[in-house]
This record gives sequence, C-alpha cells and structure tokens, in this order.
Amino acid sequence: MGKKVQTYRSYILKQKIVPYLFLGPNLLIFSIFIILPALIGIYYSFTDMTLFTFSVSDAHFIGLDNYRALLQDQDFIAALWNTIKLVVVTVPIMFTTSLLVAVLLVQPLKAKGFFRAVYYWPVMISAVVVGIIWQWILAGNFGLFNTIVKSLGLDPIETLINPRFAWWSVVFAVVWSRTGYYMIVFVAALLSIPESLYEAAEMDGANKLQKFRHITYPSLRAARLMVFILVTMEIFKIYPLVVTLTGGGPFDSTQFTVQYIYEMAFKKYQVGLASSMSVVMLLIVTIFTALNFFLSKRGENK
Amino acid sequence: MKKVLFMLFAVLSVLVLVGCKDEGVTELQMLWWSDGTEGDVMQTLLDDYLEETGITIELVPIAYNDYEARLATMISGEEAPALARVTEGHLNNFKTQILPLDDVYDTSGFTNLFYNADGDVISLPMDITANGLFVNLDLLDANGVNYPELGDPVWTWAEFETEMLKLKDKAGVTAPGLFDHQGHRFMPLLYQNGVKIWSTPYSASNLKSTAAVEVVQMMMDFYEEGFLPLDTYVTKNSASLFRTGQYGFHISGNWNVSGYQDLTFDWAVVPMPKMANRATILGGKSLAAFDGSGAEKEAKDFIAWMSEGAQHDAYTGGVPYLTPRLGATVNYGNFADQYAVFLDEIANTNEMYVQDWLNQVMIPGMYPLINQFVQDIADPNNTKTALQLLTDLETALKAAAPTS
Amino acid sequence: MKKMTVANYIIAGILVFIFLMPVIYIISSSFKPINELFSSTPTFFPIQWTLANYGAALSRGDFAQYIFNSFLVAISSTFIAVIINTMSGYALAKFRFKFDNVIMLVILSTIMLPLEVIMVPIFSVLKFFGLYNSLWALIIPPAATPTGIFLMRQYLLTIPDEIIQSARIDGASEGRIFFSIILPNAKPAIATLAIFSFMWRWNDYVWPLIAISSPRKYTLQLAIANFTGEFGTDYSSILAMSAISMIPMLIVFIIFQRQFVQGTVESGMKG
Repeated sequence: MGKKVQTYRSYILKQKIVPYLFLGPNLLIFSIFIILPALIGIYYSFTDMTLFTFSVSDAHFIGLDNYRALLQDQDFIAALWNTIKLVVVTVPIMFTTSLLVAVLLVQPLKAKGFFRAVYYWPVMISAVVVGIIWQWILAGNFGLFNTIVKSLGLDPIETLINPRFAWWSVVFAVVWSRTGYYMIVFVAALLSIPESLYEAAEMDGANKLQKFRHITYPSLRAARLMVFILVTMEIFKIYPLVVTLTGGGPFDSTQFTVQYIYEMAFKKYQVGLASSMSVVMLLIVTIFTALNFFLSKRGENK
Repeated sequence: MKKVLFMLFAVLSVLVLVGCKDEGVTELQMLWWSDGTEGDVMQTLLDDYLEETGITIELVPIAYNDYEARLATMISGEEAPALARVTEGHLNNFKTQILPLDDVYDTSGFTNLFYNADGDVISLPMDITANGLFVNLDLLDANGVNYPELGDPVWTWAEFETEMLKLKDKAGVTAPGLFDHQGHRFMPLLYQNGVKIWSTPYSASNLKSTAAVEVVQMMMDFYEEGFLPLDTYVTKNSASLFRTGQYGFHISGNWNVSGYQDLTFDWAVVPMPKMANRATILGGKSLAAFDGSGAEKEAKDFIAWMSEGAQHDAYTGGVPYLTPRLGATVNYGNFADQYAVFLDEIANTNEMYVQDWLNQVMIPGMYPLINQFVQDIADPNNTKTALQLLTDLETALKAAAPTS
Repeated sequence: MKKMTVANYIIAGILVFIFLMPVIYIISSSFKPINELFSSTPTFFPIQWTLANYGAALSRGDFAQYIFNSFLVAISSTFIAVIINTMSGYALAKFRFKFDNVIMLVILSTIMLPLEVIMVPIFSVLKFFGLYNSLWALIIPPAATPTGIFLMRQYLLTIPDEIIQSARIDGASEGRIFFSIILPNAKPAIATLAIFSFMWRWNDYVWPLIAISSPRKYTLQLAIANFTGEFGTDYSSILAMSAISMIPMLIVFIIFQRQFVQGTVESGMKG
C-alpha cells in the first residue's frame, strides 16, 4: 500500500469522523434496542395498548389513566413495596459479607487463590440454576435442609411453603451467589491501600479494629459507593432467581416488581399498564441510586 | 488473522440462518399441551397424516402454565402457529385471529362448538372434559374411609369432610386431599350449592348470596384446618403431588384419567359430593387454525381430515376422552368404570349451570380473576371475609365483561 | 499472631463449605436414582450412582439443540461484542471529539435502562425489525454492553499515543491501525471481555424469555426454567440439566480465572 498524501484538512476531517464510525455500531444498537424502546415504553404508558393491539394506531391515548390505575392496584403496590424491602434488607447484608470476606482474603493466608476461586464460583452460575440449587436444598420435609434440622433433634421446619422463610431464602440465595463478585471489587480496593498508612498506625499503637475504622474503611470510599449502587440496581431488577426458587412464592409473598410487570404484559396482556409500571419502577430505582450516591458523598464530608 | 476471523463469522452466520430457516408449507407447527397421553395419541395421528399426504405437522409441546402467554406472544409477534390445541378461554381471547371453519368440515356433527363474533364456527372440538373426584383407594381402605360408588346415594360435602378427616395426620399422609389450584376447579362447588353465577349476564350476579358465601367459607375452613394443603399453591401442580400417594383425594377432571394410568397405587373415580345438588363444569378442548401462520390452507386441510370419524374417534378413543362427535361411541376399555362416573356427573348437571358457564367463559381475562380469587381463599394471610372476596370477584367480573 | 491465623483458616474453611457444598450437592444428587431423590432419609452422596437422570435429560428430544443454541448465541455474540466494544473503547480512549462527554454520559445512562425495565417495548421493536423468535435477537442487541466499553477504554488508555501517531504519519488508515495495532495490543482486555461476554450470554434468561417462542430455539437456561415450571417436583431431569449447564462455565473459569478476577476489578472500578 503506497503512502497516501494527506492534506491537513483531510486529516482533521478524519479525526472528527473516525471516532463516530468506531462508536457507530454500539450507538446504533443502543439507539434501536435501548433508547427507542424506552421512548416507546413511555408512549405506551399513556395508551390502552394490549398485546393484541396489532397496529399502534389501534391503541388509544388515555393520558394518565394507567398511572391512576396503578396507584389503585394493590398487588402492584405490594410487589413494589416487597422489592423495596428486599433492597433495604439485602444491600447492607451483601455489602457486609463481601467486605468481610474480602478482608479475610487479604490476610496472610496460604492457598489464597483457591479460596478466592471457590468464593467467586457461585457468580458464574446462572440465576436460573442458583434458584434450582437452593430450591432443591430447602424444599420439603425431606430436603437436605430439613434432614440436617432433624439430625439436630428438631422438628422439620416449614420451608418454601412458609412465606417468611421463602422470602428470606431469596435474600440468602442472592447474597450467596453474588458476594464473590463484590468481594473482588473490595479486594482490589483493599490491596491499593498503601502499606505505609498501616505501618504508621502500628507505630502509634493502633489495634486491628482501629486500623480498620480509621484507615481501611475510609480508603474504600470509591469501592463502597460502587458496591452500594450496583447492588441496589441489581436487587431491584431481580427476576430469574426468584422464578426458579419460589416462582413468586407461596401466595405472592416473593413476587417482586419485574415479575409483576412481566405477567401484567405477557399474561394479562395489559401492555399500557405494564409500561406505566415500568416507568414508575425506573423512577424509583433512579431515586434510590441517587440517594445512595448522595448519602455516600455526604458521608465523606463528615 | 483477519481472514480467519471473517471466515469464522461467515460460518456462524450461515449456521444461525439455517437455524432460523422458515418452514416451507410442507411443514406446519401445532402447539400442544398434554395432561396425559393426548400428545402421544395425536403424534400417532400426525404420523399417519404424514404417510398419507407427505405433510409434516410438528407437535410443539408447551407447559400449560405458559401456554396462553406463549400463544399470545407468538400471535402478537406474527409467528402464529398453523394449529393449536385450545380451550374455550383461548378461543375467546384469540377469536379475531382464528380462521372460520364452516366450509372446512361438517360442523353439524359436533357439539361444543365455539363461535366468533360473526357467528362463524372457529374450532374443531376434540374432546369434552368434566370435573370430578379421584381417590387413592389404598389410603382410603387402610384408614376405614367410606365412599360412595356409582349408583350409591351421593355424599354431601359435610359427609365427605367427615370421612376424609379420618386420613388427617395418619402415617404416609401429608394431607387428606388436594384441590387443583385453578379457579375452574372451584366454581362447580357454587353450582353444587344451587348458585348460578349470573342471574342476568353480566349485570346481576348471585355471587353475594348466602349460599355462595357458605361455599367460600367452607373452602376457607378447609385450608385453615389443614384439610387441604398449601403445597398446591407452591408447586401449582396438584397432579404431581397426588402421584406421590400421600393424599387421599384429588379434585380435578377427566383429563387425569389417562394420565394416572401409571400410578403405583390403587385409585378410582367416585362421585363428587353435593350440597344442594350435584353439578360439574363441562369444558372441552378443540383444535384451531390461526390466521397469519402462512400455512392456512394446509391447516384447514388437516382439520378436515381430523374431523372424519375414523381419525376423530381414534383420538377420543385413544386417550380416552368424552367425545363431542355426535353419534360416535367411544370404547373406554379399561377406563369404562371411571368414565361411567364422569358421564353420571354430566347427566346430573342441570342444563342451566352448563349455560351459565358458557356465559362465564365469554368474559375476557376471566381465568386470571377466578384463579386469584381461589388463591386468596387459600392464602393464610388473607384478611378478607368470604363475602368480601365474593364482592370483589363480582366487581372484577363485571368490569371485565363484554359490554355488547 | 499465630492464633489469628488459625482462626482465619477456620473461617476460610467454613466459607468454602458454604460456597461449595450446595454446588457439589446438586451435582451428586444428579447421580442419584429416583427412589433416592424422594427418599425420606436422603444422603449427601448417592448410595447408588446412576447415569439414568443424564440419560433422561439428554434423550429429552431437543436437549442437544438447547446446548447448541446456547453455544451458538454465546460465541457469536462474544465475537461481535469484542469487535464493537473495542472499537467504542478505542474511540473514547484515544480521540477527542465534539460530543465525547455527551456520548460517554449516554452510554453510562443506558445502564439505568436494563432489559427488565423495557421488556415490552423491546418485544415491539424486535417484532418491527423481524427479529422476534430469531436467535439474532439474542446475539446482536446484548453484544453492546456499557461495561464492555468501559473495560476496553480503561485498558486502551494505557496504549502509548506515540505508536498510534507514528502509524498515522506513516500513512496507515484508521482501520489498519485498529486491526494491526489496537487489537493485538489489547489482548488481555479482549480476553477478559470475551470471557465475561460468553458468561453473560450463556447465563442469559430474560432476553430469551422475551425474544424466543419456538422450543427448538430455546437456549439452555430458558429450557431449564421452563421444565421447572412443568414438572414441579420432578427433579431428576432438572438436576442433570442444571449440572450440565454449569460445565462450560466451569471449564472457562478454571482456565481463565485470572481474567475473571481482573475484569471484575476493572469494571467495578470504572471512573
């Protein structure tokens, strides 16, 4: 290939266009499969669209009716509230477990690689299979869980038939399957804290707890924020794991927002209503995430 | 390196395209679900059809829980199957997308036909179903439970409960019996207490009557006392629970007769209890051909073939099922005794209840409403009274009912 | 000092048990015959090892098809993901252009719009583009991932500008630069992205749920979830299928463990 003689102009032109070309495919996909659907979804939320409204012109504009309806929908409110409870309960638990396991992993230990691999492995299992694993262990009087309970001399416990137990088993399964991921985030953050800080503290006579409180924890600011936000977003959209673990639980006790919206659209055919519910869900996730962000930032300025 | 990558990509593209190939019209899809042997019997007939005509019809089984949602998304996604097994509920929901069949087969030879808004027949009835009572004879006999047989005076729900309570907390028994979680299984109990749902469809109902409240209260008590287990609402599959042999009875329908052939314990169908009178709900599955599948003509040809006596009777006799084909006699063979009970249930159901249920079925989205209703009855955290639940159901049904 | 370390090992050991035991249990259960699966006195390991459940799962008509579909989707999508996300990462890392911050923000905000929030309109869009019930719907849209873009951008920032500049001065076209300089030098990040992409697509459930209706096009996860609904308490095939579905990820994980750890760190610590 011979040398091309470039003029300065064509060089600048290229510099301007080329990045867009490289970004092109991604932007195209985002536009068509994320931004466009988001706009369409907002539009649907103001119509009485059903799964059978075959041409969009058949759907009638009904203004805020869907939004009024969803405020009246006890089951939707219940599912939403259930999801918020799940977030509020699970985020701190996940945060704590992943942080503590990370702290353990940065101690002087042999076979660290092995431990890290084992703790990370559940992250690789699909949510569908995680639900199956825990259903298999917990379900019924003859599952592994109750067998262990009985061997301790106790009566078998009502597991997935009991709404509270089922709800907490969701928390447990999620924490079990995702701790490894956030653990790694913390491990990296922990490893980047300069040894010199700890050495200085040693010389001042600080014990382990003090070192953690005054050096480790504050240094994890960025990681903490990241973990809080990611876990919040993740729990809000929980779905496949619950489907296989409890199916929505005994009497909808483990029915969360995404499942409710999915069934509203695809089983009750109420596309307009489901879209309005999606919009509400999105708003709530955004608010929660923003809250997390600002609370964490504020904590810094103390 | 680049070349290798592009070749790999090309190969993958071809594979994907091959995988997504459209069927030509020598291959159709028939959406299906089976409760027992229906799928196997239909498959034999499809094999015969292939031999006779060279056209392959692929049986596509979908779990019943997802069936309607799947059908809905396929139709909405413009991937309608050529044919599908359907209930009256499906026929009602999708009636504008189903092809009329008056010119395809002789509809006068069948009962249980379904019509669209223009009065065209849109289904080929395949079988008639009725609700009924299955019992685990081994458990009943071992625990001295008395039950009526065909011809004996039929027991009341109170007598039924007394007898079945003998099973409670016995060895090998998880709960006296099972009631399918679907609302459809509960509704006949209203009829059994003389409650017709609609006095004037769809503006005046009898759902708030004392008789109706009595029935709902009875059901709520059953769950509270542990007469019926909550497992039904966890697994949503009572048949699989009944199979474990840990339950004395299963209120279900005749579709389980062939399904239960392979049970390891002794079982039978016995008359359902009554309150004021006996009643069962009739239903039926049909075949429907869908518009927009691209194989409409071939689908209609198949339906014509299927409607002929030889094939149709082979289906109803093979499963076996009650037949909607007039003048056909089904040889129930080993299932004669069980079917005799079902036929007896049907014979003892007042025509007004049959008509009432036909009105009920025409309400779009009716099934999710009664399913939720029955789930609330069983829900231990439910705080509403029987009357409140019935009132809410009435309101919801009226709101959903067709206005014309 | 010594006491602390022993306590650490004990805790580490308990954690190993908690994280590993359930997985081993489900695998060992998949080798149990039916009577053991429903026995009232279950044991951890099978008393009698059997391959019957695997036989039942594999002979269930389309099981091989589901595995094939999952591989097809995972590999194709990974291929596309590597190319387009590296391209985008490169653009964001090495170019200054008018809307670069805006675009960065747009990409970031798409994280807030996960599939679960736009399920129904996605269905409409797929329908419109004729992608409904097509495996392409599982391959192309999910390939564009913000996480992937940022992963590549982080790494590509470390490629010295001089190399690129001198190539330009030598008259190489941008495309040439991308393929001959960027791609080869980004191998570690590409490996990480490829592995994550494969994992995400292999484990996908919601995309296939929305996009696929023909059982013949099910991916493995969709098939397993469907069977769970249908058979309720019939675990025998489900256990075997679940065990089989973990195998590819296990192999990938053992070989590429370091990349997974690296990738998590880099994607978690973006910006």
